[in-house]
Amino acid sequence: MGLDPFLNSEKIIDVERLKSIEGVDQIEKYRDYTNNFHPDGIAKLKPEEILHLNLCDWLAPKAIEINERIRKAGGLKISETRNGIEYITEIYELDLFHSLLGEMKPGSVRDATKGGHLFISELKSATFDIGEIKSFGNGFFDMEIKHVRGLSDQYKTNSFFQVGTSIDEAVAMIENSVLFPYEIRIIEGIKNKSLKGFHLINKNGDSFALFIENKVAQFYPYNIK
Amino acid sequence: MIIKKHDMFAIKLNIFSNLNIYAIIKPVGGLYYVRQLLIYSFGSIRRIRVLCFIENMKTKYKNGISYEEVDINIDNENDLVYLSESYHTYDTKPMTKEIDDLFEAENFIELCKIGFLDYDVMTKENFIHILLLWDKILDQVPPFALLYQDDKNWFDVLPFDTQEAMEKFVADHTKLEETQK
Repeated sequence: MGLDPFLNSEKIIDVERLKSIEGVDQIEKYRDYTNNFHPDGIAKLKPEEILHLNLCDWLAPKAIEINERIRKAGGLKISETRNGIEYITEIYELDLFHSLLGEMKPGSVRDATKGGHLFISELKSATFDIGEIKSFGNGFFDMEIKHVRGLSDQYKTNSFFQVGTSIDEAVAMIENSVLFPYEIRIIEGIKNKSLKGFHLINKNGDSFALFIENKVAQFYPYNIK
Repeated sequence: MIIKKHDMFAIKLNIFSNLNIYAIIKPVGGLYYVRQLLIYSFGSIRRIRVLCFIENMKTKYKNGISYEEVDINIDNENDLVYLSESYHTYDTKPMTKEIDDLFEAENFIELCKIGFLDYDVMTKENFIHILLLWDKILDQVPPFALLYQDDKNWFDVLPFDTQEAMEKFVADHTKLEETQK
């Protein structure tokens, strides 16, 4: 289904459908907070939270379809060689909710700057004060953001896919960079030992960072010029 | 000058004219958050221009700015800059109500001071020195560069033409420490 019907920050588009979505952290956090999306609970939500939940509803069927396809194909495999030994890191799921929509937690402003690298202008402008925007090639760009309700004035610089990129296009870029890399570089020295990080450069020169834990990958566009 | 900690880098331009910066000693040398800044977040700083970034430290970034791989937090009272770990690693640590409240207030400096966040800390003057010099180094693209912290806790970066020259510099300034002991 297209994005437009879900771009609503005043009401949950389909409460029953939202209730039925399982296993999505971003939705589960609000299930408790709203007493399973009871009208009294929904009344507590801020406009950006309503919009975020509607977008989770929009993304959910697509995320299931994409991840089922990846699993059926045997997963994605990142191969890197160190000291003559090949190491394989498997990916069986892309965390599309974190990577494309971003985090949001009831009553919290701090998580909202995490992830969310698909540029959905309505969501970003409802959630953030926007600072400087700088392109880093092929339409990818950095944008400074801080939560509209944040207590501090500290911005975060997040990277974004090109304006107008669809879910399928973003996923295709990641899959393409894993399957046909120009270069794979491990991110050295990550202190969380269950987390593996890679920079993947595809054959167009576009770079992506992938962080993989328990075979689930979060990702974002990345570059240094 | 005695080198306390260091990291060595190889720097290359790839065919897309993007900079690739590799840490070339394993394990890496313990200047973790400065290294995260120089390797992974410096592209964003260069995109807005380093001089503009430094100017913004008086206004828009007066308390700091966050990137995916490192948070830059400015303690204006003490003229210090804390480079602290990003959510990729701190999200897995157990939280308390006090820590949660500090995150909500985005008080990263206090989170460093109470030991919840890992960090590197330097003076504001030293931080600006590193920004300017690393920018110049990346413009010149020398094959190798050294990041080190000396016995006065000053952080510095130096370009090198060969790995041997870089290693000799480190050896010379580490030997000195052994001689003086």
